[in-house]
Amino acid sequence: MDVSLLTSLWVALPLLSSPVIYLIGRLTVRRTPHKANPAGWLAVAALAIDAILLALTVDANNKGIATAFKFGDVVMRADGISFVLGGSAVLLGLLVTIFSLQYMAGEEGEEKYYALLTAMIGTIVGLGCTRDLFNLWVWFEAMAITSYMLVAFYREQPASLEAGIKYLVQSAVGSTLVLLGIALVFASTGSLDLDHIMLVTQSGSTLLLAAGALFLIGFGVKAALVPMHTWLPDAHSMAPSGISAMLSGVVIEAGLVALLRVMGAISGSSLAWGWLLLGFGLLNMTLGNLLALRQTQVKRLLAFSSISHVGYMLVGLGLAVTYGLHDGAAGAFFHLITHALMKGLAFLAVGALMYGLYLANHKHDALMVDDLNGASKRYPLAVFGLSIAVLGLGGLPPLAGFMSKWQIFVAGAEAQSTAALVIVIYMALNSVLSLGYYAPLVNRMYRKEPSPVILTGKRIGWQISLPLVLLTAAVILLGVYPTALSWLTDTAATSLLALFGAI
Amino acid sequence: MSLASIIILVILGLVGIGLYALLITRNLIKVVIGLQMMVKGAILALVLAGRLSGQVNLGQSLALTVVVADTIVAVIALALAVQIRRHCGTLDLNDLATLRR
Amino acid sequence: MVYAVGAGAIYAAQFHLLSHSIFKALLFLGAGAVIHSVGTRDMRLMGGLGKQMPLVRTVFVIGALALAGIPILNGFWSKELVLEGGLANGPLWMYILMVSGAGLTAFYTCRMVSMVFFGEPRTHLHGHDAGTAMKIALIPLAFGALTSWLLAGPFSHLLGEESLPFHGVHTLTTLHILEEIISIPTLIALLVVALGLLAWWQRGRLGWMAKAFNWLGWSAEHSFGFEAINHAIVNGTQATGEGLRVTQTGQLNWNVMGILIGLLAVLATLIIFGLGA
Repeated sequence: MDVSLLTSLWVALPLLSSPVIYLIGRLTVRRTPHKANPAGWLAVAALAIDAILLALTVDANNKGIATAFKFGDVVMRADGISFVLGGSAVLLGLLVTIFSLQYMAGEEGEEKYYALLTAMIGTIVGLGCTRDLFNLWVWFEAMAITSYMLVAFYREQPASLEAGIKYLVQSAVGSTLVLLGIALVFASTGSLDLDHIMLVTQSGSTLLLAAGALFLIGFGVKAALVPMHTWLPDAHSMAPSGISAMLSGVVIEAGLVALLRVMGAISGSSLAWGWLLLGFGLLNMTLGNLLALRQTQVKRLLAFSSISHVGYMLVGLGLAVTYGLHDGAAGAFFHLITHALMKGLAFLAVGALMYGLYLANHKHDALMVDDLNGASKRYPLAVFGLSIAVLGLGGLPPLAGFMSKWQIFVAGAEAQSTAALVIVIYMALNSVLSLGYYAPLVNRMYRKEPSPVILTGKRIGWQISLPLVLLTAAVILLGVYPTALSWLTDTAATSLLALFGAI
Repeated sequence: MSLASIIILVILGLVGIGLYALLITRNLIKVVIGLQMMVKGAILALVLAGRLSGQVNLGQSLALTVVVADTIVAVIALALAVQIRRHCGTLDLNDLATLRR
Repeated sequence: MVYAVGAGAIYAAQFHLLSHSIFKALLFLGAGAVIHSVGTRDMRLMGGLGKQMPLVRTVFVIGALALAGIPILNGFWSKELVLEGGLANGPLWMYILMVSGAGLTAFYTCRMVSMVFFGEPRTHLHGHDAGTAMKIALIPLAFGALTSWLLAGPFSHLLGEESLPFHGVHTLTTLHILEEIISIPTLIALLVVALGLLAWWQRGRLGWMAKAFNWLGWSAEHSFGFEAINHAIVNGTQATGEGLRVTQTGQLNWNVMGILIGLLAVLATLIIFGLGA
């Protein structure tokens, strides 16, 4: 098949299947209200086909060397970054959908959930491939809209509504700032094509600097840069667990990728961008870890840890931009992938426990850290998955998280500058600090006596177990064979340096 | 004063008032209105940018796209407000601060 | 070992690594057997255990003597080789430091052995003898500590030709190596080791010295203050984490304020540093 058509299909399939899923699900529920909703299985099928399309597309595109393709009338481009982001979204999305088959079963408006989830995956894939400033905003806004509705999916729960409205307002302020930035760039260059903008902005101008600041903050809200991160713990802890996994695993990273794309285009205007990324990275790491330290809700703890992990990616990217280091970018993208796997696994495992302890008993309580006591006795699989995930997030070898952090450390050492070395040491100290809240979780689950709520927990089915098993295996295998993905992270790093005009 | 600088003032005014509303109002509906004002400023900015760079059509089509997206956001925000009024019994942001720390 | 590598005596370092791995494994397993038997890790509570666990005592003494660098045990040969390499290629003051270290090692090893296995039982702790499995593990190690130095020649062969061909490790016969070890510096080192042992023997008369070093013992007991620093750091971090939670107000107005603050901060940074491109 034609490469262009194949790549377009990969982007379009989730978007096209979304309304079909909704309609079929809705009609079935109307006709036969007591039968199981087919929407979930349709979404699984659509995403599985999309995953196959992904594999074919990667193969047809010479494993991620940038190729332009026409999506309708719009020219887009699939490069290494597109495949890192789009691939994570589709694969994690598929697992989340399978997970949700049981987790969301019987919820009101199940078909909406699946339709929105597939649409969100489609918009993330599209976001990764765009090369036009305004199209980037459209994809970004479409992703945001689907995620608002998914965060506030439990519309009977006050807490989930509150999280939803906060997320919406903050995110909307961010995207308005991005629009203002677009207007500034458009006014000063007369172009919206990112490549063209990069060519004509080799000199600094105040307008472009202001636009850059607006982009950094606007996309930064979505990417949860401190101090724009305040929506994240609320949204991640109150969304359905599958959505928490998607938000943390790919949506905040999509904000990061959008930021990188526009920042690359205007990178000629100043030398400070790389340092700004480094600064935000350090801030994110510190605050995320410190705030996670004393949390009592498990999902909130994981949400704060996401903030700190965005910090690691930012440091890797900042090193790449500041010092032109290929390894920094490759490490950051590798960390993006491993973080998607580990955080996806963590949220799904916590979701499994929540399902067993609360949802199956028709309760919507938040899972507290104390509820985990002795959970290994009753939920060995979910607890093992959660342990692997948090230890990997803490950077324990030989798990995937260690390898990706290590690659970023190596990049810092390669920079051969005192500042970079100090940053690397600070990162390592932060990893140690993060073990201060990950390790007690594991200890609690395996060594304490089971809490009463554990003993009354319900069983979890294969739909929940299967994604956990696959993700656990992936986290361990990527730790043992970290080079398995270097073909992808290397091409993504090359794409990034090309975006910033370093090649 | 040229037309462009008047429009720039209007844009700054709209965005500024919107942001100010977001910072001080406690009523959720007013917050949504503030948000809308900010976005309207941004839409105006896009039209102006199109005019300044000599691509009036492109600028206006961007503005229209933003209007569509922005309407969807406003609708969702208001729908959420309705649900919040129903289930939380309040639209005061001070009472909508249960998720904290 | 690190000293030897630094002084360029690669072979000595590797050989000491081999010896060390044998006698330290022996000592740790022996210590494990003792701890398992009496149920405490505090040496001050032990004593006179030699009568209850004779085999463990014998092998432990072998290991300890090897660690102290007493002749014919493997620790002696390799340690001397390290010290000689250091004397030949390193500065003198470092050599003196290392030799004094060797003396100190002999001293504390003696103290440990006599405290645990000899003398009168200090408490009512009564250890049972080690199990058969433990004994089976200990005996070959003790044998190794006695004899592994005989492998010096083959070991150099192995290193020189196969593992580290670029380091210029000469392949020598065992006899040659042993001849090289027996020399004047060796005697000096032995003398210091003997001094260490003597110091233990005559410890009653060295009371003034013990008093002089009292503060060192005290600070060693308190982990040289690291424990306290550790506590302070952990508590401080926890308190900071708790304190920072206030910033997560949950108020939407404040959250939007965060966005504004971020924007202003970035603009300020760009104005100060960014215009220089």
